[in-house]
Amino acid sequence: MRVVFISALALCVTTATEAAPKRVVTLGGDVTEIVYALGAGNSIACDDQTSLYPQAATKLPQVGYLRTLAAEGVLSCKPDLIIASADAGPPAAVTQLSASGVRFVKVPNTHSPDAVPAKIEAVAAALAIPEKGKALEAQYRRALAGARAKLAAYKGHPRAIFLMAQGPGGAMAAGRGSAADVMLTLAGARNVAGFEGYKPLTPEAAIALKPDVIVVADIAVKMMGGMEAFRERPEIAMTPAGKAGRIVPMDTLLLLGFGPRTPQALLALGQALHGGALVH
Amino acid sequence: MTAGLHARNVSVIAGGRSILKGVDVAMQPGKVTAIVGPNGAGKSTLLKVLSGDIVPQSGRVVMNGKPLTEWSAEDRALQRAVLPQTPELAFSFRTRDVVELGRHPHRGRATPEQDRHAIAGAMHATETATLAIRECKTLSGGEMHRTHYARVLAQIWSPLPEDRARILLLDEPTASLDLFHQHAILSKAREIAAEGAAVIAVLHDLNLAATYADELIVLAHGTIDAAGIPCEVLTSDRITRIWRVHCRVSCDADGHLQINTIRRAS
Amino acid sequence: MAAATDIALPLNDPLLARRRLILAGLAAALAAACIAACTIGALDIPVSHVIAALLARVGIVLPVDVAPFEDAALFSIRLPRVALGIGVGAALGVSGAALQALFRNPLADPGLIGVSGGAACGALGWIVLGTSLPAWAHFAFAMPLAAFATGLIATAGVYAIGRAQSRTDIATLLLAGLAINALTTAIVGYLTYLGTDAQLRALTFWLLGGLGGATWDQIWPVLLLIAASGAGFASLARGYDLLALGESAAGHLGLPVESVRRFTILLTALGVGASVALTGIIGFVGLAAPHLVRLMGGPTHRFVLPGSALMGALLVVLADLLARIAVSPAELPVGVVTSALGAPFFIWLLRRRLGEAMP
Repeated sequence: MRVVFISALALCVTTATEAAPKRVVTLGGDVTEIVYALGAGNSIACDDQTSLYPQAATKLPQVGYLRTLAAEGVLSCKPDLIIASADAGPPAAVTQLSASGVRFVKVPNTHSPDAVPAKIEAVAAALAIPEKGKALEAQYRRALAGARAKLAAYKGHPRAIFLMAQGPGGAMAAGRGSAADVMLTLAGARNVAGFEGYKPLTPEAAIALKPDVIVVADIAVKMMGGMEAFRERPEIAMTPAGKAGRIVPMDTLLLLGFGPRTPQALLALGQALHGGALVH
Repeated sequence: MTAGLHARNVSVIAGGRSILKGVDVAMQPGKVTAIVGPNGAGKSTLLKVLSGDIVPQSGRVVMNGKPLTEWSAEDRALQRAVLPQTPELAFSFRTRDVVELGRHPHRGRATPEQDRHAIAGAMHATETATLAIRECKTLSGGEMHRTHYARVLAQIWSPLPEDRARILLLDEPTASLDLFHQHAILSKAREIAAEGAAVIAVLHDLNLAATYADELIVLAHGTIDAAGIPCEVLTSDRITRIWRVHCRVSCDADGHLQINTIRRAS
Repeated sequence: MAAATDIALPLNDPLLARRRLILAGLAAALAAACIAACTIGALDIPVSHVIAALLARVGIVLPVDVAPFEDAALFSIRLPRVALGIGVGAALGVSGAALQALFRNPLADPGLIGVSGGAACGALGWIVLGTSLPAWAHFAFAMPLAAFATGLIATAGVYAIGRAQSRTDIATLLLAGLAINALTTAIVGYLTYLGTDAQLRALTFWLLGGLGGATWDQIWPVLLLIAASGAGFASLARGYDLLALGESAAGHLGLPVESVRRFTILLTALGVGASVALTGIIGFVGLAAPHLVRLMGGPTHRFVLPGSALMGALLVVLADLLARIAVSPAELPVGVVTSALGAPFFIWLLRRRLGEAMP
């Protein structure tokens, strides 16, 4: 086993010093976005089901869902490079992929806009285009600083909550430490969901929390039958947000992906939270 | 050593009720002992005590000179065989495989030739030889019952050493059999008894019991009402008292008994 | 008299020869299924490459060009799956046969009567609560042993419930199994609530049953436990034949019924617990394998136990193959495949049984 591993590794080392990889598999919506932003989108042979931006990425063959991958399925794309978000799973599949002999790069995934430059750097290094990486990083930092400046101009911290897909106990709300919590707080809101992680929100709890704005994943709205049906649900209708009609659907990859578009996401969120209008 | 099966002053209480009280009876080798009595008399319970399935609250059972509890399960299996009232079979073995199960206690002791001899002999005695390779689920109720009888016979086919008597316990063996087979089974039981075994059979048919038993035990309300040879025990008074039917009983010089029921007692 | 003996018992029982042939056939089919499983998948590896790579490990070099890629895929992805599939399939098959013998009912199955569910509680409890245990509690056998412990409680519980009646009919067993599976669902639900998101994902995916989530160092302890339980079962084969006569009659023939019962419950919990710990719940194999084997060669357990091991292994390896190619490049959980095929099979069996006294 070791002999095979070492010889495969040797093969990879020689490959690494050659020209840019020809067949890349990207696992994770943020990773895919970054590769396209670096201008290397045409080297992607396959991606995963969470890679929903840009439009071109959805037309590529998909090898599975990021968190429930099959090692074989990924390898069937015959990649010479796999770039995977740290959220890739299950752990056994990740272990198998890293031992498969194909170059495997893991991209760190801290839930913070400040973590994005590190992601860009890792992806650019994997693709052997460090200069483009630096350019993109600089562009990103400028956009983020700009967004922060605009957000600082808003006054007040509206009470807000972020809702995801429907669980058996009700819609799942994002509590402390979640990606949504980070975004809401940065955009100037006060996340009223005081618990850790994602938990189902019962109607009574929703009413007790009294959010002024409800940010909701747009797929969740679709699953619950559209915006009208969503607004009529008791746990929504009886909140201040529901009564005032301040419900903000947002694309999950845009909001929670922590990729190149994060500054835009922050701005859109900030506008919705403080502007008082429905943002589409 | 006293060979045979003896119940010494056995009492059984279950669910607060007394099922058997002070039952004391000796079943000799070389004889067929029939236990008869009306429903609820405790016949099945007595048989279960004799086979060791139930431990009596007082008294004990002695088998071939030793208390039943002092024989190991293996040794018990080598000496006595039990044919229950409703034998079970969870899977559809072939008939000969079921009979072969009866030879289990003899593994390591009997030669394969002896085993085959016992199985074949038992199947011929019960007229199941022609059913040998049939699957049990294709058999009729009576054929299945005879197969279990063959298994039980195969278990105690050969005489035992050291003057131990083989013991055969039969619980209502004639229930699902036609007339021919009822008599065939009980004749075979007599043959085995003649070879020295102690055969004990619970029977509901008094005429059959009278025909084939050397000794009759009448059980009623958990106690022994009478024990002895059929002609002495089965008088029309006793039959009326215990079974509540009027009948005419005749006993000829050879000891053959015939019971004719007249009508139910009012 | 000699002629009469022969009529009843021909010297060479033709059934014995047929049984040997069936077992050999099953072994051959299993070998073929394993080769197919190594060859077919999202990544196709030609048969010649599979054989060459396997032979190369034992020192025989063939003039076939095997890519290191294919070699790595074969030895770190395919073979662990196949090995696990064989182990788990055999364990489930034999446990199913043993449970059917114990309960004297051919419709008993580790999943239906709650053994798998009970084992799952232990494994899941380990996934969610294990992180809060001290370091010494984490070792290779820890999760299989947790699954074994809870599986044992479940099996003993079902047996105790079933014993309240003198005959264990399938309705009682299924109801007891229903109760235990309901309890498992409740515990799973609670653990789901307790768990972090990462644990939740591991939990949900695991519950559905899959062979892909294990690496060699996780597999070997499980295979060891399964082999140990298999050896134990082998000694009980004759006892199971006797048990078919009922516990009372088996006792009359000298079988130590109580210890056979206890040993069976122990071994079943061990085999099923070890499998469930690694692969989640794979249902209906324990029901189908013994049934098919009995259909082919009769119910004698010296044949049915090894036959069920082979048949169970064959069913799981084939189900896993199907699971891998049905929605390629993604994979179905193998438990989904076995349930999709097994549930209709069970319903058909149930209908047949209602019209028959014996299978």
